[in-house]
Amino acid sequence: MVSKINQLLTSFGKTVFALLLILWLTPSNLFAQDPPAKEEPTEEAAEAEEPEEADEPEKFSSKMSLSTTQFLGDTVELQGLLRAKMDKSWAAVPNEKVGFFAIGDEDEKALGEVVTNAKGIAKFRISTKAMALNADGYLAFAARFAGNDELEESDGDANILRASMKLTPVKEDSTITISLNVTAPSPEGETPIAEADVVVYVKRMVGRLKVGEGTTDEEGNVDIDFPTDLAGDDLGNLYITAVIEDYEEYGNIAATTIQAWGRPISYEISELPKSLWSPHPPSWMVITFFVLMAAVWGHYAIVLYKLSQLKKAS
Amino acid sequence: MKASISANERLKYFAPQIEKISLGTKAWIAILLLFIVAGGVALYQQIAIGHVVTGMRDNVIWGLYIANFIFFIGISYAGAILSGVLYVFKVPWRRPIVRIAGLVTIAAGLIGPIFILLCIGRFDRMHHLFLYPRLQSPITWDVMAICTYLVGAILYLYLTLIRDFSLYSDAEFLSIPSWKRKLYKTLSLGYKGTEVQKKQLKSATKLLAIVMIPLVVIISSVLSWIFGMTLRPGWHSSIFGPYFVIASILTGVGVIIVIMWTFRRLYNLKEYLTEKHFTYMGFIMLVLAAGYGYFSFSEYLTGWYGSEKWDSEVLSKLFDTSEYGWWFLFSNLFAIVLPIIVVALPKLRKPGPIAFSALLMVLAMWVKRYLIVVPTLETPLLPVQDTRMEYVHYVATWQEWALTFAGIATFLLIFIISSKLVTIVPTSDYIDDEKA
Amino acid sequence: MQNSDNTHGNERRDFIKLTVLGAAAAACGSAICSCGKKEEEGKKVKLLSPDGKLVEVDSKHLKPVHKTVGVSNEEARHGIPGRKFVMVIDLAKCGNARKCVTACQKMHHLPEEKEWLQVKLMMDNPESAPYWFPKTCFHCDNPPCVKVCPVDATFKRQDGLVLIDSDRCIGCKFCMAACPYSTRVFNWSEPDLPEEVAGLCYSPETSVPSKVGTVEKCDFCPDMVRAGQLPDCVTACPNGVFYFGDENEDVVSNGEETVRFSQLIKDKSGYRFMEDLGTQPRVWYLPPTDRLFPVERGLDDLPENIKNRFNDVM
Repeated sequence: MVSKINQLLTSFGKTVFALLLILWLTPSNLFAQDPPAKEEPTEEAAEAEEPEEADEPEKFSSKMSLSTTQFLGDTVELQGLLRAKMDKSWAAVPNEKVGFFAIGDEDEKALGEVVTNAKGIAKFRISTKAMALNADGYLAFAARFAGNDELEESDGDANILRASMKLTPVKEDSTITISLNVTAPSPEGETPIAEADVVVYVKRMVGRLKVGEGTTDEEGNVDIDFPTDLAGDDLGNLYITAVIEDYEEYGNIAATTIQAWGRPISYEISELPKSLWSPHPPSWMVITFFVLMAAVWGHYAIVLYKLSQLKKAS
Repeated sequence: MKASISANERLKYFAPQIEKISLGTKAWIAILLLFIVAGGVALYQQIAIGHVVTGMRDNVIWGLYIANFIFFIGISYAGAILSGVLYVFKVPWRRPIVRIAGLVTIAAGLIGPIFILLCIGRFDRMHHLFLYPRLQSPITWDVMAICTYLVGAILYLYLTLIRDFSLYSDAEFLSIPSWKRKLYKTLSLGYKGTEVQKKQLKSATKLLAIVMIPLVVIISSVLSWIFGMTLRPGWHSSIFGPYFVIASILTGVGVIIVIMWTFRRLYNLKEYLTEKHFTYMGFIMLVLAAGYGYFSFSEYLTGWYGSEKWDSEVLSKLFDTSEYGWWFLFSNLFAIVLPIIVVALPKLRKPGPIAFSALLMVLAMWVKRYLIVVPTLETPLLPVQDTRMEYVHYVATWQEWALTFAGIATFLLIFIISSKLVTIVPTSDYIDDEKA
Repeated sequence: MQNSDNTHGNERRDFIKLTVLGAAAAACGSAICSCGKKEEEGKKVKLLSPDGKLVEVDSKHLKPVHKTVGVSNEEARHGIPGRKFVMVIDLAKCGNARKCVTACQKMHHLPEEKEWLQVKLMMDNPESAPYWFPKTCFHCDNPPCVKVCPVDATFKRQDGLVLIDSDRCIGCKFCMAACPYSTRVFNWSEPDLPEEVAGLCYSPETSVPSKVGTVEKCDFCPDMVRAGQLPDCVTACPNGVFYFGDENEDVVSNGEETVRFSQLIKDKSGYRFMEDLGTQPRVWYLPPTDRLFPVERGLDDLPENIKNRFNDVM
């Protein structure tokens, strides 16, 4: 009987050996240790770029766009947008210096330098109170990029007439209105700017939300209703901007205000509730778990105690 | 010590089992070690190259390893609950079976969790489970449950071994090396069979046996909840708890029957593991297979009848012979129908056929585990829309198979080694009988 | 590189085009983390250019622009105060241009085959019309993935985001099984990253770099939001499909227009995908009515392997 079993075992053992051999000789095994070929794509990519390189000019061309926004109190914000031509499209150039200049009739004055952000934008705000108008009555600005090893230089200019927008927030009972008055200085004093389209924005997490619009009347006035159901920051503050965009020869005209008209949003980090998806389990779960564990491990302890008694009894 | 003489006679009968290792056994051990080495190679590759060597990808994120995990840990649970129930209810024919059940519990219980480790992307971070535990996760439940369970199972097996250890260390006729005798002596905790000791040991064993029964039910359900708690068709089912419990016990009973049959022949235990034992175990298998069949039927019937979109998609894969149809048929026929027929027909109700049907049933139950894990994962709620075949359809790689077989080999190896340390039939259990 | 002229050519382009990785050292904060190695001048490094090509650049040209978030892990777990992020995806505008997919891959240094953002072709039943369905992580308010994480590696923040701490993740993949939307991806092998990316310190807010054996997914780019910018998928979309914003402010923006979130949802019958699962997504969809393009247009100019994905539908 036993020998029979032994025979059986031996033949089974052979089968197992054969099986093992097959396993080891499987092709996937033979190749499994080969390091994956990583280098090739790099070479290919580099080669692919080569001919393109040869055809391209020594330097990439760049483009500077300058825009202005006038605020109350003779303040102007200059915004330069620096872009470069890449693969037939314009791409923003970050981290490059943009110089801003005030252009006079005979000379020009350097205002300052700003480095472009990730979107290729450099902003610069100045007071124009002391600035002289040029012969034609304009405020003249320029933004320049000096170029570098890879990019050609470029510049942009802007000539604007002075204008200002006065913003008066009006809150009555349950309605909120933004009263605006847009004027331009003239020898006869302030003259109203009529039929200008004004848009009111509120600053949001990303971008700005348009909350109202209107057109100025002959007096340069417009009242724009403001929504009452907006959320503000933790104090309920709203950052409101009224803008007339690129109007005639005035560039952008804007006015801003901060009002606590919004619903305050709590910035406090409170503990998450006890729930399945928070770090804190529901109480019943904790209780059940520990009761069960205590019950079982308690019994183990009793058994171990009994075992120790057993040893003592000997 | 009148009774112990008789017990010693019995021990003499079993002695060859623990005294020497036959050539056949040595060959077996060598083969098993080879399998384990093959698994080691696969494991090395998995660690060195990454889990990319497995067939698992972003849709089928769990594969053979998890199927093996459920399979082994289920077998282990069955061993524990069976020995517990048999002990608590003082079933008279339990004696030659409880030791096997106990060993199955430990061997399978140690292998199962290894498969979980194989499936985890960063097992170098396992300590995070204890550093940052989240009680809401079924994995936390399972980790705690398995740790708790293994401690209990080892303790329980030990309790049932103390009297045997005492017997072995005192039996001077046993030709065993002195280290082995010393080991037995230490492990016997100085048990000499005094009334006090008997009482203490008995109450401790009984207490633990009672604890093990509900413990197994709970942890087996916890295992099922890893699947049941997800929003996946084929998994998100309220009967998964009891379904897993009964499937586990059924599989484990099958494994125990197969091992009974093997040792009966290997160590010539016909007098102890009689036909009656196979018949009784067969009856247990029949009842469990029927119960399992009932759960399977209600699970698939409700899914098929309700025919919700995703349930239907998974079921259509299980019923489709070009997908999992044949495997599905195999798993149901051989895990449910075959055991019932073999045990129900008196002509077939013999150790051989019962053991053979148990073996097929165990295989079918393994397939069933695969069918629980893989088809559901191949059926995500959103269309896969991927041209990479390995992301659409899971095919286990040789590394996964090698580790699977290494797991089975380790299970058998633990069993063989254990059978060289303790007798397969708990010798000392017969002392009480002689006295009475 | 064998060809030195070629290398020089690349340099010129790359210095502007590469919106590079950020000051690794700054992001890492301190000497605690060894990953913030300082690159020696003149050393050649490999990088992914914006158009997806691998190029080699002199490390002195690396300029910090991107991925410079310096928030602590603690902060990254709490979220941005006062925010409740939300996204609206307008299915009527999607033409499967896949710019969102590539922008996301570029931003997070993902290989071509790894898509955190996927565009599926959906057809709800055989009679209904197919439509393109861009899918980000839904950042659910009842996130099934967070529920099942055993180590708090993926977590829900107060600002609504569901993020992953790759340094904590044990790679059990349970979250992937739990997510009903197949959002999460696993690093099955060591990610093939350029040295400077691999050397960056991981932050749940940047989700960079990928780490072997861990899970990752779309993170709604909170690092961009902190810098006042929209996530890259939003700005990359040529059709303005994605609207990203803050539910507390009730505003979403696609870069072109900024609108009230509640109004948009109301006007265009916004809905959440698979509402019946109870996961409460933070991503809303606008139904594909009055489409900008016929659905077939989305198949034009697709590489074969991507086109074949949709064979079952069209």
